[in-house]
Amino acid sequence: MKNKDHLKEWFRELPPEQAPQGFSNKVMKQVMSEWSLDPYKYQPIISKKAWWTIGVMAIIITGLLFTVYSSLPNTGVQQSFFGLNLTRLFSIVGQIFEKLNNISPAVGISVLAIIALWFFDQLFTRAARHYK
Amino acid sequence: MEKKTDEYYIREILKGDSGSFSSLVEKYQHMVFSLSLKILGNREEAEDAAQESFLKAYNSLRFFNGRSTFKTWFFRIVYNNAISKQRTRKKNEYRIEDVRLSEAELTVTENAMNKFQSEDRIKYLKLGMDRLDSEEQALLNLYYYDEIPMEEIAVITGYSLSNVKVKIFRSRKHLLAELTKILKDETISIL
Repeated sequence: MKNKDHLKEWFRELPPEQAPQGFSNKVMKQVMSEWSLDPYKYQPIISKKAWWTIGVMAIIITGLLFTVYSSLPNTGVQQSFFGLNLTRLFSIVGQIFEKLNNISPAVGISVLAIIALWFFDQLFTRAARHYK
Repeated sequence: MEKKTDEYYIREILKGDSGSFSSLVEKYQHMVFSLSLKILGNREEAEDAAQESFLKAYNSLRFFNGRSTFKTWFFRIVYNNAISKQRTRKKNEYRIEDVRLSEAELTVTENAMNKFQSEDRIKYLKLGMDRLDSEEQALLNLYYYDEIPMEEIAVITGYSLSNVKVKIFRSRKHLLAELTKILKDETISIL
């Protein structure tokens, strides 16, 4: 190309091409409707997958400990497994279940209803995203 | 008022404040529309394409890694979107026969253009640009009108830098050849 490129000067004279009136409003309307279907969410430090893994691991460990606890001979003395006092641990778990037994059925039903609502909310949101 | 960078708005959008996207729309709407219009040559289609490009950019924001500026990354979306629309539409373009003009003839045209009044120069420049194909128009527009460096044009178009240089050089020559033809026709019609 030549040292002096006149095309630069010619193009500078061209009037700027303006987007039509209301263009940005139209774009933002579409963006907001996209957002309502799939909003950007806060990214948690521990992901959903990690929470599920932790939950499954906890269940497995509890199950294993309970199996070990049941298989140990009942001698009346405190039973331990690798330094972990199983008698104490399971008496605490037993106390928690006893307390849960004493909860009023109304509270139980309310909790179940909340869980069911949350479940259906998740289900319908996913269905809406899937068929959008 | 303090001017915020594009990266600031992107962070806000990714945190969940979608309203921040309006600042990017306000900033780039004319450039995006202009580039889409140069490629598609039709205002309605250019408006649709520009809207689509903004929406695509919004949906892909989480993949913006900051290796290039937001403007370059976004213009790549705009360019590819308009070019793919134009390809599927198979626009019936004005395709000239391979014009072979000497450097001397092109220089005469350049000098003539420089002597015109600004109004006439704009008129002929627009006529000449209309005769180029979409890609040539887009490249000249990016380089001369938006004054985007060739390195960034290479990122936007996906071509290598040397390829961009060659294509811009050829498009420029093609434009001058078209202007030569237009001016010749004009002279004949006056005579």
